[in-house]
Amino acid sequence: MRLSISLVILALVAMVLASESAIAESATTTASALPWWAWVLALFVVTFVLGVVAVVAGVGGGVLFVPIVSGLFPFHLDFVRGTGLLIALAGALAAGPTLLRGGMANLQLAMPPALTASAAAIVGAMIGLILPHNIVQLALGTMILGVVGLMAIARKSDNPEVARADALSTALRMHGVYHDPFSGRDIEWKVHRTPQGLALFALIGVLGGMFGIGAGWANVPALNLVMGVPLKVSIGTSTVILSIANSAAAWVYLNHGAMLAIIAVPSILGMMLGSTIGVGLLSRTNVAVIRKLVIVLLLLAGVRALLRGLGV
Amino acid sequence: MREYRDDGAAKSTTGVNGGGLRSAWKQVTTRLRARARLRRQQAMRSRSQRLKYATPEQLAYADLLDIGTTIARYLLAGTFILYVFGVSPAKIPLSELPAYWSMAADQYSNLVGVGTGWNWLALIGYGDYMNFFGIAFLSGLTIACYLRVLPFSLQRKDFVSGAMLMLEVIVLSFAASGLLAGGH
Repeated sequence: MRLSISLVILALVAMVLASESAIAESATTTASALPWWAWVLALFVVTFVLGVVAVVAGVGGGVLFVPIVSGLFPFHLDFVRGTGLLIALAGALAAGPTLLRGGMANLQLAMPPALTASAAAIVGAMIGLILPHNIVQLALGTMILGVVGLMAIARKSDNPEVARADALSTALRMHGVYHDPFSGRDIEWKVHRTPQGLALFALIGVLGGMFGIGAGWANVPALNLVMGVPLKVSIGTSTVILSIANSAAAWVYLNHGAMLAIIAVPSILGMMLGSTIGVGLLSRTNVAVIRKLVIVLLLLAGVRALLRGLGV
Repeated sequence: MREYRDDGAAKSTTGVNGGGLRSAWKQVTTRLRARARLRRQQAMRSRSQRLKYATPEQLAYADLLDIGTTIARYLLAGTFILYVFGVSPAKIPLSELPAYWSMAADQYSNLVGVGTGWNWLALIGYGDYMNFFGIAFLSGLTIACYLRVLPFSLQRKDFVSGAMLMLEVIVLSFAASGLLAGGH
């Protein structure tokens, strides 16, 4: 199973490397070589694979979707970013009820960062839609390389030590108890460094809105390492924050016309189906190996976006 | 069989059968009541267990989100089927789409003549824009969920949370309003 997933990722890497000439060719012939349904079918297959890989590697679908699909398909980056936001939004909204009911996500904790991130995501979406495309490509490549760096070096803390909750988090009632099913214990948690955390969420919101990527990769470290929230609550609450911030940015893209149903719906369905299969494979795969392969895949996609931004 | 017996025997049999039926019915209703009681107890236990880790407003938010995402999923899939199978006519025929999808969003909107903001609503009869209804529904779910939990905060006089909820609703409504449609 591990081998087959690794092969799929390697195939994706090869596709990323080989697609440049194919896309250039299809752009000149306006995709006459392939009928519309072949592109849509290919999109469904790729998003299905990305859905499997995203769950197994523990990254959001949006962060894989935007750089890879913008590299592999002839769709304009505006539509890819709009769809990336929708994918992240649909996944986060679908996971939200279970996480909230089980106490793995905390609404009270999510509200202040979500407010900051959603206001910033609107600004990010506006900037992303105004900037010239080569600048957006360049910035996207740089950011993806930043994500790779963060994924490679970021440490996690299961239950960070928070000596004293700060005044702002106390006023905003950002504290709670969660039940850890593995240890069977109830774990109380509180938050510190709230102003710094909220400032980080503003930056994350801008980036998420500008590039149409889900920001789980940044939300979790901000909650866990900066604000001192236990890792599991950070992961769950990050999903809720993502669903709120992405809603704001998705409206901007939708009202700007940066969405095409023929791209958005098969992508959402493919990603949802892939994620469902990925959850089933989770216990039978070597997550560390898959994660390393995803880092390589993102590295290549980031470098390619960077080169395209530079016109190389 | 009963019509061949005399009245007394028939009455007696009816009495026995009636008694049997009555007791059987009683047993069934007793079992059903016991099962319903057990289910109620389990539901109460489950709810009190849930309330240990999630506040009532969090549960209300989750319940509405659950219903909303299910509706959105059906809306997206249903409208997409109508579009792809040509049940609803498309503004841009599917076969011509490859000539359009590599254009920038504003260039595409100008060519199609849809403009920005909520102008797409005028084209909702077309298959490709019918799908926007599901997308808008999905994007608007959070506003509905926030409005659902607002009364909880106001009821317990938690005005800080209430203000945050209201602010988020304003931010999301502003984004949804279409006033922010920019362009390259």
